[in-house]
Formats: sequence, structure tokens, C-alpha cells
Amino acid sequence: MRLTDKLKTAMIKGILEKGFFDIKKLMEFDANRGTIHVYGTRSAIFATHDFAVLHEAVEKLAGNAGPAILRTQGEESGRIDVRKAWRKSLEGFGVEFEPSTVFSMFPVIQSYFGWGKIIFAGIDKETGQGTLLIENCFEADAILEIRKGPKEKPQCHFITGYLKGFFSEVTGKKLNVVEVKCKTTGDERCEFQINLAQ
Amino acid sequence: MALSFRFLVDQVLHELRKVGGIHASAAVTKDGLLIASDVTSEIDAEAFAAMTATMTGAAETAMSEIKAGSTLRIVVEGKSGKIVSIEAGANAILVVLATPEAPLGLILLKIGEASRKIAKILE
Repeated sequence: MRLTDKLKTAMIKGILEKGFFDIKKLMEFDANRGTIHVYGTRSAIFATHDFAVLHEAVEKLAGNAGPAILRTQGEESGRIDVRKAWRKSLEGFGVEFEPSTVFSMFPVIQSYFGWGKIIFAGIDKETGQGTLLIENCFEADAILEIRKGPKEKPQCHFITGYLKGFFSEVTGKKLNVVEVKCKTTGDERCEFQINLAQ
Repeated sequence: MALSFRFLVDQVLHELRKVGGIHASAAVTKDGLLIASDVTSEIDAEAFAAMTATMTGAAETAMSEIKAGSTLRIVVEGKSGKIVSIEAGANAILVVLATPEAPLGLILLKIGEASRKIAKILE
């Protein structure tokens, strides 16, 4: 990463983390047209419990295969976010698109968007491999809110797929993501292992 | 350890290639993760694993809805090929791709044997 990019990345990250910058300024609300754009990407706000409802719907129709559908949706969303939102926004900040830049900013940006507190616990910022933790993970919390009681297996299938798509798209390598701990199974926070696919 | 069970499942899948008309196969978990595959490079094995699990899951829920009991196998026949899938133990599915003219009876016999072997390996 160039020195100027490093400084810019650190500044943007610092400004966001300390709350000096109101991220709502990156959103354009048009009440007349009924639209919201985030970084120029058409967006809409949904309640997180809609994810739990989606879990229920795919399980109702596809049974045990529900996770496969949610992971696939997440993976494609992650890839599209890199292509459409991240590349464009980094260009907007005048910062070169590089894995180390994206991975430096990813935790704070996604935390701002309400995904929970994202912590890189030994993620290599060049290869994207390592462990990622999410405290107050939105998907796990939504499931716990709607579908009472602890679950036997990790449930954050959308996020698992999203991380796979996002990290693979950023690094240009095929990565695998496995959720090894989940708030829905009684763990304190959700934990994802990211490794190179075999 | 993980490599050895994958190796054993791979061997079962390679054996299936010897059955006339079968040209690809895969073992996948019921929630759509790839265990092992013997498919051509034209097929995205991971996506195919997710599709197989979805097809099987949807068929199982439909059978359950009409109270038709547990699903024994799924056969999808197309103009240029057929897909046959069968349960391989409590958490896995074996799926094969075959030519349209491949004899279904023989395929069912052979994948029945293969699925029992895979179930034992994954136990």
C-alpha cells in the first residue's frame, strides 16, 4: 500500500471509529422518489428479524438445504458489494483498491452498517485468511429474537456466504469460510474461520 | 484424518465412473457443502453441491407435506441427461449424473451400494 493510501485509510478509519464523521452523510434520502442510496448504491432498510423469517421460509421449502440457499445468497451479495460499492467508494476517497486497504476498513464500515462489532482476530490483511469475530452479530441476534431457544449448529449462513464472496472477490482467490462458534449455540460471539479453499 | 476420509469417498466416486452411463458424481452434506466430487471442470462442484441439497431438501419437504413418508431417491430426467440422488447416511447425499439412455435399474443398484459405503465412511 502507498504511504498516502496508508495515511488516508488510517484517517478514514479513525474518523469513522471516533464518530467524528456521520456515516448518514454517505446516504442520500429522496422522500419524493422513495429511494435511499448508500455510496450511490440503491438500498433499502429492513428489520433484522426479516433474516430470521427468511431462514424459516427457506427451511420450510428446502428443509435441510436452507443453509445452502442462504450461503449462496450471501456469497453473491458479498461479491456484488465489492464490485459495486467498495471499489466505487474507495475511488471516491481517492484511495487505491487493495486487499490491505479494504480489510483495514471492513470491520469499521460493516459495524457502522449494523452488522455487529466486527473484530479481526489474526486476519492476514493481504491474503484475507484467519479468524473473524462478530459481537452482537445481527443474523444471530435476529434468529434468537424470532426462533427462541439455543440451536445445535451455527446459524449465520448469510454472513458465512457473504464473507466468502467478499474476501474471495477482494483477494482474487477462492476462499472458504466456516462459522465455528455462534451466539445462537450459546457462544459469547460468532467466530468465522477463513482459509484458502482446497 | 480429514484427508483420509475424503480419499475414501473419492475412491467410491471413481468406482461409479465404471458403471455404464454414469459420467459424474458427488457426495454432499444435506446442508449443501461439498464432501467430494468426480465431475468435469465444466461443472462448478460447490454450486452443484448446493443445488443437489436444495433439490433433495425441497423434495423431502414436499413428500412430508403430502405425508408420503421418507424420500428414497430423486430422479430428474432431461433430454440430454439425468440426475439421480440418494441419501448416504444421516447427513449426506450421493448424486450421480448419467446419460439419458443409461439404464435406471443398474444406476439405482450401483448408487445404492455406493451410498452405503459412503455412509459407513462418514459414520
